[in-house]
Amino acid sequence: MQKFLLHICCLMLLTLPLQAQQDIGIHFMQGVWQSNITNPASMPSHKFVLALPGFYNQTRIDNFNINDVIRKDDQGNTLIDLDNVLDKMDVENIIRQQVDIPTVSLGVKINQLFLQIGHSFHVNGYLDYPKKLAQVAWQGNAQFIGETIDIGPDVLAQAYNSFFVGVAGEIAPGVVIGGRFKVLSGTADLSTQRRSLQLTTDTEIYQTQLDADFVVNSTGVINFEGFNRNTGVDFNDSNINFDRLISSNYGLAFDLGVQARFGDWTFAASALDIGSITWREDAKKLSLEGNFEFQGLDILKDVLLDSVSTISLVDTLETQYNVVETSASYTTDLPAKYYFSATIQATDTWRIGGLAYVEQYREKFQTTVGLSANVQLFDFLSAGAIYSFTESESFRLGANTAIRLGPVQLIAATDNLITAFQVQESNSANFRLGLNLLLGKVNRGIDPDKIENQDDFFRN
Amino acid sequence: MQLKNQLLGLTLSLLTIGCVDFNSLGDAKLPDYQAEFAVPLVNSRLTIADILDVNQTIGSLEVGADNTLQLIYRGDVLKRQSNEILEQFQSSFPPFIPVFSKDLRLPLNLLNGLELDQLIFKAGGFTYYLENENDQGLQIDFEFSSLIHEDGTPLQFSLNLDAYTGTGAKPFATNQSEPIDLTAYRLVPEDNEIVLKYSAQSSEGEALNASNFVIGLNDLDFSYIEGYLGQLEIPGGRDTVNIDFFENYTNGEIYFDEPQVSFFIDNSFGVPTRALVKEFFVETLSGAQLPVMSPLIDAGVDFPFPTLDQIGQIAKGEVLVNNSNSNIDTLLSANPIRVIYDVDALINPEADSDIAGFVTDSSFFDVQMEVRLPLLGRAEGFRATDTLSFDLGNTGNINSAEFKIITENELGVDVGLQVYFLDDQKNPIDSLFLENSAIIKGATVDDSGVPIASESVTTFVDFDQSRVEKVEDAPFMVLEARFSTETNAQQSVRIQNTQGVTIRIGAILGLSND
Repeated sequence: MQKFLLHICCLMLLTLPLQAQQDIGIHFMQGVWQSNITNPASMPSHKFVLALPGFYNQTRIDNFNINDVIRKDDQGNTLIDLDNVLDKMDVENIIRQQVDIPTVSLGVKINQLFLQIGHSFHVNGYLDYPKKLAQVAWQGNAQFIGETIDIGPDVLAQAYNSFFVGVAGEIAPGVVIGGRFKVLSGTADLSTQRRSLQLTTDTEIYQTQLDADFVVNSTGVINFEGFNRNTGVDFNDSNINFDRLISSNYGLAFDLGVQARFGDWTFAASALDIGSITWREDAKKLSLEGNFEFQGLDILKDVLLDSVSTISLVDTLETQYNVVETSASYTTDLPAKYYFSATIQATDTWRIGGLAYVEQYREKFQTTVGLSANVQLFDFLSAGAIYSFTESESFRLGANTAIRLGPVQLIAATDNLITAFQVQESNSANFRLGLNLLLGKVNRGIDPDKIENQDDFFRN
Repeated sequence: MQLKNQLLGLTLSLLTIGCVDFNSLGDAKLPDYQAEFAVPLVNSRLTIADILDVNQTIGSLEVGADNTLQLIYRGDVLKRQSNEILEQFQSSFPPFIPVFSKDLRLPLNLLNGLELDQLIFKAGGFTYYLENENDQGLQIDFEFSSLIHEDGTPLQFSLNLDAYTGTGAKPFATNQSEPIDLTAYRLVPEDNEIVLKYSAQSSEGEALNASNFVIGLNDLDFSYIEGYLGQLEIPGGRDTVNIDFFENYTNGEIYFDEPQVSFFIDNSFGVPTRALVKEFFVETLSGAQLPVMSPLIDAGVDFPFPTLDQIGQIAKGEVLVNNSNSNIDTLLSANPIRVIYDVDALINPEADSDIAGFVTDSSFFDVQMEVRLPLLGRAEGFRATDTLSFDLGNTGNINSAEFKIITENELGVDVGLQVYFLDDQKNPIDSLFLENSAIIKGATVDDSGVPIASESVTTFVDFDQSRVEKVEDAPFMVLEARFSTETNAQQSVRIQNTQGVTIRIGAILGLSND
């Protein structure tokens, strides 16, 4: 158990330095190709864009940060302070991990339309776990004698390739709509279908009762060979990569966006990752369903007969829980994302904006609101800052920048700048890096959104 | 411009983020793991039948009419088949009978004064041999009046012998190579005499004699004998009924209120038979041999037997030796470990020849003894122990345990439990309970000894790390149970088959890193 906990802790700690948060700063980097990721109606400022491999990571651990996790003992050793972590936890806690690796994408303006095609690899991880699960694992169930506690976690972890094509165009003066159609090829998935695990510890002799309605679907992640000391549950992470681009776990998804300009104001809305993947390849369902009662061993007669040499409670418990494995395809939805923003061109170089971002995982919605300011410092350099707030966190300050050296553009963005310098105080992080090759800018130094005659812009 | 420069600096800073030193995290260790898991360990209900049954290798358990459990121990006292007796009769028959008279009445002087009324052959052969020493030929007509075929005719034969010439061998006749089969015959003596006749005549009608005339009854086997069979003593030999109830006994006393010894007799011999008890005593745990005293024993136990119109039936009888006709209650209350006896059987004990009996080839008698100990009584400090091999296995990271023991006693007997953990030299190194307290209080009983309601007791036992380590290495454990009826004072308690003891044990196990 403690090794398991150590692995979990290390996993959590190692993800924090990646620095990330919701991907909202990039949304306001107007004219930058990567902002198109947040709204397919957002166009770059060049006619031809080739995006080279980039990286995006988002990690969020609710309710505690690194400082809560580690402490120094009297000898100066670094310890993982799980008791303190438990104190910080809320009733329900979420760990969120998202890694996007856009390998390559190409955007080309052809006549009135801006077309795009590309590929990216995605890893989504989501764990919603009750505090009591962590308490039972680390501190035991004795503290819950006489209680019924729900310890079922909700897990979604999936890896997939996305091949996409998109188009954007102006449908009315100042109004651009865009869409992106994605063909998805899944490589691995682990997701709970049902998560109820009600554990009761009786006051009499601590009889345990597990009222279970727990179903986990897995494709290429779990090898389950029963609960015993020689086998058990093996996690196989070898499929969480994009070596294998095509699989029979396919799905479809789309992104939609709209951008409308009214004078100096620009309003935008988008819905991303509306779709699902059906998992078929070695898909299995592991079910633990029913009411499992353990009242103790009925062994006294055997003891009197001297036929019991070793009393193994663990062996008995292992046989109590009957996990049923079946092969069945299943479908998981992608976590959908929604952006709503408004921006005003305050001066020739300054833009001020506001945003609401909603992310849906399972039935839960996470909302972030933020205010941004972006400035075009030089012809080759722009920078921005964003101040945002998420329900589970305090206010954060983010920053972003884009530097262009000849046809090469480098972008970097984070939504939690303070975390970069005080990472141990943070419980969330995100970071995006991108590298673009740009050709054919229409009007150097002028934001295409400010071009009064957009037709002229697209003809250039 | 200054603002721009500041923003440029900020931008460059952005490009260098993420360089925080996390090396120390790689060395981070989990602190001392101190979890407490509450688990149920044992949840068993043992009926008294379970407890006794697992320890009984010789006896058995039965439920009495009032559901009172009874310990039963049985042993063979005497068992005989008729062939043992019939063989003696067969061997007492003379192999040859000389026929020295034409009208012969031969008294049967068989075994033990046997006065035969009827004998049915199951097998056997009749042979004869006779010669003619006359100078005339003979016509012989023979009739064995006592040997009657199943069709009602006596055994008869006729033959002719040539005249003797005076030289050489005398003419003779015999059937020795082809005996007359007696399977369909029965022997019916007249006044315990067998009767046979013959006539010998010359061709002119002159009455003559045969010479050297003998008959033989060979290879006899009987299926039935009727008559006065004489007095015959059949030895039984010494035997023992072991009582293993006290196998694990250590000390203390237990008193059975209504012990009894029964003799069960099955008899299909149609003759009066009496069991002669030569030895009958109880050996106690202390080695004392206490004689069973009873008028029944002194007089001997007469078997019931089937009458002549009950041939083939089994007469059953039971002789009960209890506290009303013996001192058995005293003996069996004294921690008995075996009952020792030596019983013979005497056929026709009164030697009354007026009593006609019978024996068939399937007759038998079988006498069994049963010691019955109804679980109704009292106990004082009765203690039993049993040493068991013990392997707790690897306790892993368990460093402490608090056991919660809930006992529910439906018996009217106080039960004190203790478990001793022994090292490989069988020296005690720890015990489950620090005090020898009786933790299972007996239920209060009514006037008939039946418990009114069960008693429940909860006990907590703490094992700290040092005790866990000691017990973990113990290769043996001794289970000790102490029984008393102290709760019910001098009232005898009744143990019924439905009564039992429920023991539930849970534990809060403290786990740590190592």
